[in-house]
Amino acid sequence: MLRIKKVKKYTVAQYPQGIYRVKPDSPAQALWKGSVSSAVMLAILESCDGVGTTGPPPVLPEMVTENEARNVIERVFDNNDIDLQEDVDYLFRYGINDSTQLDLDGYNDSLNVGYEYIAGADSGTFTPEVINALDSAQSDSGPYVKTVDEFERSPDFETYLENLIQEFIDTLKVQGII
Amino acid sequence: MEFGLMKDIVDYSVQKYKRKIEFRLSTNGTLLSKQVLQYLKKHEIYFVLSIDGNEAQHDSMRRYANSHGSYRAIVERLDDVLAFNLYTVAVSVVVPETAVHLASGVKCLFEKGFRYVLQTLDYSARWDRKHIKTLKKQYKILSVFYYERMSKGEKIYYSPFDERIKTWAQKPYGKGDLCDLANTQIAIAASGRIYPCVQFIGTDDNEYQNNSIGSVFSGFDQQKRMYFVVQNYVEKESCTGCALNGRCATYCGCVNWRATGCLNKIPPIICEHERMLMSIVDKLANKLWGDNNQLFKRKFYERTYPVSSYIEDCLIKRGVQDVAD
Repeated sequence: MLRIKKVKKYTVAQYPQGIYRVKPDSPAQALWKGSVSSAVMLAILESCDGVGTTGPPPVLPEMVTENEARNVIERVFDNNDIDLQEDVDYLFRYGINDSTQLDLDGYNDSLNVGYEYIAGADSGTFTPEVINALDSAQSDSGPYVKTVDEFERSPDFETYLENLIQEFIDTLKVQGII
Repeated sequence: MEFGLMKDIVDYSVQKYKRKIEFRLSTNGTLLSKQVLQYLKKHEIYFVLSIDGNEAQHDSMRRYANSHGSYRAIVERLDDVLAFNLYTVAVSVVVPETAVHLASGVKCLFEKGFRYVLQTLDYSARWDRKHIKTLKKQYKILSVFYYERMSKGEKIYYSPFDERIKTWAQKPYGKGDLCDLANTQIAIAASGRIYPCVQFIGTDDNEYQNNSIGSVFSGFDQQKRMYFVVQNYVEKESCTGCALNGRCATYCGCVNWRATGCLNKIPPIICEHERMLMSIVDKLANKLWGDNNQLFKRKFYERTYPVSSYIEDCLIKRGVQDVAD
């Protein structure tokens, strides 16, 4: 049966909002860029070998974004004919009296199967305690929710993620849940 | 098409109001002869063409009284139609029975030369979860098609995608943007009764006349008119706090009324459809943005795009003609 349901959190759109335009340089910036001193500075920097005190600042590892992860994961679920609803509110009860409201990236209500790629603010809800409880629930009566911690991008990250999710689905198939 | 009546109306308005009144037309195209097209061109009467997609899709719903489909009759006239106006909009309506043809149908329309496809679901039909699943697959196929066309720099407009991207890249829908019934839009029945929108006319008999907001002979019934305006603008309780509020098509009071009998009560199919479609569209837009697709950037982020694109098209057309000459 079709139903009306409010979407609590929506993070899929990653392209800019509002009229986008490249901001022109301010007069000061333009002057600085065009000045002799900037040319000297650039020459000095370009002559550096990139180590020691003149080296570039440390760069944080580039992580697989939530959007990229969702694309891959949903593709695997799709290939297995499992239809997921996106951004689903789910009240997860665990322990004796504990419960927490989760916002799952994908979830199939009838199969009780879903996933969450834990990136950014998600770690506030998906605490180690909750993740452990979700893992334990998989060998019990569910929900069967695969959690994936944000991870560093590598050339074969898609294959890695595909295998991870396929393995999860295969396990559920063996268990007779799907 | 009452072509004779249409001419009488146009002649009357030109005679009385010079050229202050503009006319637009919605047609299934079956009677668009060269003579009619010439007349429309002379009087700058542009039209949208009701054509659902491919033959199977169209003919399953749009038939003559003798039960034969009207598709071929329209397709025979397409060259003339697109020569009349390259930007003619194809209007396609999808019902549960034709959902499976959605992707192939839309592709077919673009392949036949349309550049603008305006598509909507018949929200008053009986939709279920199985249909939503079918639609999802179809939209995904189309998102690949749209991506490929945009990557080749081909200017296409497909309303389910373009309009939703606009609500993010430009601005969300505001009151009256999507539907402004009884306010900046009205409909007039053949009887002269004024209605909030064409959806309310129905058979214009006793049952429907309750929705009338006046008559061309006596003017507006302001109290009734304002009732519709206010009801249409009321914040929908079912949507308050939803993250997609302002991006989806729940703001069309006419559609709500037709499907639920209430202006501000949305049918579940709208909500399900929007939730499903929005993420497909946004993933497509993410990809085009990530590719630094120049056409995507121009189309959705440059205010001058409609004008610059038109000028560009004219220059290309002139270039092609020069080469041909």
